[in-house]
Amino acid sequence: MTDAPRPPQAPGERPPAQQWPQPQPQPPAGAGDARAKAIELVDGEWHRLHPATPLLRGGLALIIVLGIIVSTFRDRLIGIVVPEEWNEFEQDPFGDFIIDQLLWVALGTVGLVLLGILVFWLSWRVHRFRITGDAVEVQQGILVKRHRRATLARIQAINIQKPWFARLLGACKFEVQQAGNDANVDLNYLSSSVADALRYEVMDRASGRSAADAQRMATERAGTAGGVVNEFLRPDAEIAHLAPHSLVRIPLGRIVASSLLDGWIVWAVAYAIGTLVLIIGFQQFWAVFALLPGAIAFFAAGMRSLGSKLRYSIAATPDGIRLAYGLASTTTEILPPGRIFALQVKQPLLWRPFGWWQVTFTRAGKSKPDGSGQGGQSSQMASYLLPVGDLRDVRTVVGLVLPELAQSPLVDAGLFGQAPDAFVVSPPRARAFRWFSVRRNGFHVHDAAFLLRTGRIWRSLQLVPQARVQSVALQQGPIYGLARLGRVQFHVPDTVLSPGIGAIDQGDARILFDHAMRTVKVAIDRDTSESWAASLSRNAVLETAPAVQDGLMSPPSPPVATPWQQVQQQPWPSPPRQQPWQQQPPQQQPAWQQPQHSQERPPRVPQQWAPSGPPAAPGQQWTQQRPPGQHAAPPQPWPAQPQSSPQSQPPQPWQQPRPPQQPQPQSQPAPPASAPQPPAQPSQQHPDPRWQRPRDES
Amino acid sequence: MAERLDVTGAWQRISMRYAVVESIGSVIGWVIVGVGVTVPLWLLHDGDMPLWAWLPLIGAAVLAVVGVVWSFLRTRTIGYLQRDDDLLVRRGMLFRRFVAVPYGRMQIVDITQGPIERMFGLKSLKFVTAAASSAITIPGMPGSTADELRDHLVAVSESRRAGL
Repeated sequence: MTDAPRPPQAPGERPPAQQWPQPQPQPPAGAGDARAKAIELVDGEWHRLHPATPLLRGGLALIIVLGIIVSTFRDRLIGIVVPEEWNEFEQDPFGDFIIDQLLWVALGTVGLVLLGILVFWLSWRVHRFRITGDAVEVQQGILVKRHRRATLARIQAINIQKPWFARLLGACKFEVQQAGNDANVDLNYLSSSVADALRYEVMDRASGRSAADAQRMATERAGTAGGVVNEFLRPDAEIAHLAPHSLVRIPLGRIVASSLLDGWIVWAVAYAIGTLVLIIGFQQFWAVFALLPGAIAFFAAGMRSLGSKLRYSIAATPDGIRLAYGLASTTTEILPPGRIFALQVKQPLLWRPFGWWQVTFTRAGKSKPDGSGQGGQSSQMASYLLPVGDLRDVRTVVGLVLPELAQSPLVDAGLFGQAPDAFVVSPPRARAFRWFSVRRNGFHVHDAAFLLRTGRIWRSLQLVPQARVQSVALQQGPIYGLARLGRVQFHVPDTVLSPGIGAIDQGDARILFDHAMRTVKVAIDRDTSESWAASLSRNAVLETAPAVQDGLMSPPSPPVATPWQQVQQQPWPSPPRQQPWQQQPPQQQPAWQQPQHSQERPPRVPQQWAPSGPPAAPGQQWTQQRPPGQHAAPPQPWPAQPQSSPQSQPPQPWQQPRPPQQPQPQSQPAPPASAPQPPAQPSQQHPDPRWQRPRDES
Repeated sequence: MAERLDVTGAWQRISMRYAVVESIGSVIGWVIVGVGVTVPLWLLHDGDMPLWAWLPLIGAAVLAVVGVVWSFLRTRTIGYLQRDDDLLVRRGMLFRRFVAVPYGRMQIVDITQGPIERMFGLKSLKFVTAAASSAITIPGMPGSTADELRDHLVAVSESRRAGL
C-alpha cells in the first residue's frame, strides 16, 4: 500500500516525492494508508471513536477543575517559598479545611478521579459508529441509549473541525450535517489522519458514484493533495495545502480592514466616544470603569468575527463546494451540490468605497454549540460563502452555486442596477415604504433562481435556487392593501436568511406567486442533486465557466432525452413569457429559447404596460433595442406603469381553465390515490372530485 | 378602497362550526381576564364596588363580543385549494396570507384536535416542510374530511417526494 496505484491519465504530473521512495515517501503513502483505514471504517461494522475522546469531551471541565485547585493552593505554594511575615492566608477557611483533612481529601480526590476515568472509559466503550451503504449511525449512552441515523442521500454537509486543543492530540470532529435543528450526526472525535479520507468515502457512497470512479478519484487525490502531515508540528498544513486550490484569494489586510468597517467597530467607536464625553464633558469619572469591560467585549467580538474569516478558501470539488477556514481551530467543510438553499450578496455601507461584498448562505442543518466552547464559533463561521471579496470574487462564488448565473449581467444588475432594467421593481407609490430604494427594490425570475434585489444604501441581492424553495407565501397587510402592494416570501430552511421581497405591486406579486409555483415545480422535477454523481455534476459546468459569456452559452439544457420532461416543458413557458421579467434583454435570452420566442410573439405588439406617452429620444433607442413592453422603459413611463397594472389586463391564459387538449395529465405522475382525471375538468382543481364539493354539510 | 390582493379559484372553505369553537375560546379567555381583574377589585373594596371598578368587566364583555364577531369573519377567510402541483392555503382578512406548498415538499402532515374542537367534531391539519416559516395549518375541518385529506396528501407527497 506504500505505492498507490498510478493514475492512468497523467503519470508525469505526480510530485517528485513520489518518484523517489527513499527520502520522502511520506505524503502519498500517508494518503494511501488513510484511505485504506477509511475503507476499513466504512465496512458496515461498529467502530469506536478516537481514544482521546473522553478527554476532549470533558476537556474543558478538567481544565476548570485544575484551575480551581491551582488558584486555591496558590497562596499556600507562595507561602511555602516566601518568608513567614508575608504569610496572609490565615483567613482561608477552604485551604485550612483541606490541610486539616488531608487524608480524606486525598482519598476522595483519588476516588473521584478513578470514578471519572471509569465513567469516561465506559462511555467511550459504548459510543460507537458505523457507516453502511446508505446511512451513518451513531450509538452512545450508558444509561440512556441514543441511536442516531443519517441517511446518506440526505447529508447536507460534512464538516471536519479541528479545535486547537484536539489537534494537539491528533483528533478532530467529524460532523455529518442533516436537515433540521440539532439533527447532526457527530463522530466526535476521530483520528485526524483518517478523517479526510473517511469523508471522501462517505461522499462517494452518498453521491451514488460507481466504485471505479471512486477509485480513480482517490488516486487523483493521492497524487495532488499533500496527504497527511504531522499535525503537531505543522498545524497549518491542513489548510495550507488547500489554499492553492482556492478560487478566491483574500489578502489579510482586506480581511482585517473589512472586519474593522463591518458595523461593530462603528459601535465600538461610538461607545468609546460616548464614554469619553461622559468623562471629560460631564466630569463623571466613574465612567472610566465602563471603558475596560466594553473594550474587552468589543475586542472579543472582533477577534471572533476575524477568526472565522482568516485563511478562508473556497474550492470546487467533484463532491461540491469545499470551504476551509480558521487560524488556530480549523474547519474544512464540503457542501454537496444543491445543499445551499439561498444566497445573499450584500454590501455594508462602509465597504462601498472599496467595492467589497459579502456572500452569506443558508443551509438546512444547524450545529449546536457543545461544551468545548468551539461550537458557537463554528456555527457562526459557516454562514459565509465569501467573507469579503470584490466583484470578481462574488461572480466566482455565485457561479459556483448557480453555474447558470456565472458571468450573467443579471448579477451585476442585481448588485448595482436601478429601475430601467431586467428587474420588476416597486411602483412609485411604494415610496412611502422604500424611501430611497423604490426604483431598486425588485425581483427577477431566472431559469435557475429567483433574484431579489433590495436596498440602495445597504445593497443586497438574494438568490434563491428554484429547486430549493420549500413553499411560497403571498402576503398583504391592511396598509399594503391601501397602497395595493404585496409581499412575496420564499420559504427556505431559515437558519440565516429568509428571502422575500416586499412593497411590490400587488398584481406583480400575484403573478410572481403563481409563476413561482410553476417554475419551482419544474425545477424540483429537474433537480438531481440528491445523488449528485449520477447526473452531470454542476461542477462540470463550472469547469467550462470561462465559456459562459454573458448568458450566450445555453444554460445547462434540461435533459431532453426523457420524453416526459419535454412534455412538461411545453405547456407552461408560453404564458409567463409575456411577463416583463421574462422579457430579458436579448443577450440574456438563452439560445435554445430564441426561435420559439420570436415566432410566438410578433416583435412590435404593444403590451399593456408599454410606455403611454411619447418616449424621449434616448428612450426610443431603448425600446427599439429591447422587446416592446420591456419593463426597461424610458424614464417617464416608468411612473405611469402601475396605472395599467394587471388588474386592468384581460385574464391571463393561465388563470383560465387550461384547454383540455394540453397534455398536462401526462406531465406528472398521477397520484395513486386519485381517480383518473376527467378531461373537461378545470385544471386548477384537483382531479379527484371528492374534493370539489363543500364539506360543511357533513 | 382599492381591490385587495386575491387568488381566484374554487376555494374550499372550512366549516363555520370552527367559528363557534373560536368564539368559545375567545369568550372563555376574556371571561377569565375580566373576572381575574374584577375579583381583586371586589375584595379590595369589601364588596362595596364603585362604578368604575365594573369597567374591566364591561370591557372584557365588549372584547368578547368583538372576538366572537371577528372569529366568524376570520373563519370565513380560511380556505384551501388543491391545485395540480401544490396545496394553497389562505387565511386572514386584513393580513392576508396565501401559502403554496408543493406536494413533494410536505414532510409531515399532522392532525390535532383540541377539547372544544372535539365537541364539535372538528380537526386541525398541520403541514410541515423543511422550512420552519412555511408551517401552515388548516383548522376546523370536519373529522372525516381531515382524515381523508391527510391520507390523500400523504399519498400524493409520497409519490412526488422531492428531497429538500
